Amino acid sequence: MIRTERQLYIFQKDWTGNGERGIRDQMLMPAIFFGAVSPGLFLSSVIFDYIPGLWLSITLNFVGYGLTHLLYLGRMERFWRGLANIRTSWISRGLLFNILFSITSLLYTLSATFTIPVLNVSGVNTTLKIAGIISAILFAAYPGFMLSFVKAIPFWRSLLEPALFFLQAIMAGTAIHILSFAFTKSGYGNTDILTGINFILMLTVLLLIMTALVMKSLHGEAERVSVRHLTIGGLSTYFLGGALFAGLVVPIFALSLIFAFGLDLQRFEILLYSLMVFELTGVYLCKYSIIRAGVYTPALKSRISI
Amino acid sequence: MKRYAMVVDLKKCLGCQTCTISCKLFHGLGPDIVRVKVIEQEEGEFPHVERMFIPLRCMHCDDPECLKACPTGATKKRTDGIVIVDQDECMGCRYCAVVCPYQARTFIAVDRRYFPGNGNLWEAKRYTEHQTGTMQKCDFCYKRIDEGISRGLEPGIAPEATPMCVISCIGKALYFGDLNDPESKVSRLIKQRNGFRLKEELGTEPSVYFLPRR
Repeated sequence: MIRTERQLYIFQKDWTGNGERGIRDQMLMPAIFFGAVSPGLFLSSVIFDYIPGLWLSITLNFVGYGLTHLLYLGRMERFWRGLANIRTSWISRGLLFNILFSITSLLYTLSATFTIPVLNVSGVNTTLKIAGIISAILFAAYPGFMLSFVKAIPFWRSLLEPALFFLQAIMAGTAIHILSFAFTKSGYGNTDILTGINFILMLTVLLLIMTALVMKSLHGEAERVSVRHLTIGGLSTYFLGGALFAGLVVPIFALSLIFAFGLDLQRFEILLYSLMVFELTGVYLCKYSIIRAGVYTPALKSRISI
Repeated sequence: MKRYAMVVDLKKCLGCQTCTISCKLFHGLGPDIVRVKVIEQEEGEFPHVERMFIPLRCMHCDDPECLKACPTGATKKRTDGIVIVDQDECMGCRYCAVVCPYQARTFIAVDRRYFPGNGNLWEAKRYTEHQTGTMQKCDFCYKRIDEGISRGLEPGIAPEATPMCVISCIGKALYFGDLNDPESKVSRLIKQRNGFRLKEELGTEPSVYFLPRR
């Protein structure tokens, strides 16, 4: 049946994860999540020379990001065509950044793990490291640019988006770095400094999110509709409860107590790992909520006098 | 150089959806796939309330957001201003649908038919022309226009060279023609009746104009 729609503010429905293709349509959010965790973990692992982290980053990139993103596409066999419009398309640029990151991170990890004559030459090794870092930064930030360049959805149009996506990527990277100590004690001595970095990043991300919410709620009506949907509407459980409270406030509060009382983090391993799981869940829910909260301005409001 | 445009007279639109149906029939579009949709808007306060209907489709913008966003280059803009999607190049990322301010694109997720099984003969023949996993949008019936022009017909004047929605509109609310020709019907209507475009503030320069009701 053809329905006549009544429209005012319409939420974007193409990137929601709800679709007729079932699980394949739900693959976008894991792709975006792992597309943040993977470069974040790579950067964290490069800084601390953490080989298991490098390998985990590569695995998350190829399986968590690459495979899920391919499954999401309507015609995955044509993914290579995605490089055709680098001049103007952020999806194209993202694909390019991912390819660069995949190649450089893999080569650097190989050179850091094994003795490979061609790769272990000093200059080559350093070049790969720098190229890996640059491509990881670009890859981590690109979804933010992708959203911020959507003119049609005012809630996404802000330079805070790329900053948020980038900082969340590093935050999630350090969180999974700490979490990996549950399985390997290699590099375990860096727990204190990693937790400190993670704590600062969480505070910065929380501040950035609060700033964005306040700024958006002071702008146009479409932004306010998005903010309302995130804070008192259908997404409030995910955003306020999951992303902000469980994902940021609880870890910040618990770590503040640990730091304030000068407690030994290694005595609170289980708590620390639990907090990192909370934080990662929060990052996922934050991205999910922001994407779901995108609202178009009405096509006709205030234009037509009848 | 021609630039094809459409004009919608809001005073004449009845909200009958004939444009939607004729488009679906002509292009052989399956369930939930629409290129033209009619939205309803209420204005005013009781007892001075009025309803109006607004047919929406791809606005064939002069500076289309979808063209810039499309990573594969499947979205193309022809020299006559018509924006089309090459289904053989589309990879189905749906970024174009997200960036479109007019929500004019539909993703063909699965091959569905109105009739059970393989559908009726019409569905079996026509639905396979559209690839699942790609985007659909109004293309101003460009194949019809091209064919008409090759026969020496004038789009917007000769029915055989005019989009199906325009010729099927029972309220005669739709007009089609060359925007670059100041003597064309569309140019004259826009000028005479203060035609406006939707979301002009975004700077996409749509090619679909609307004539106010008063």
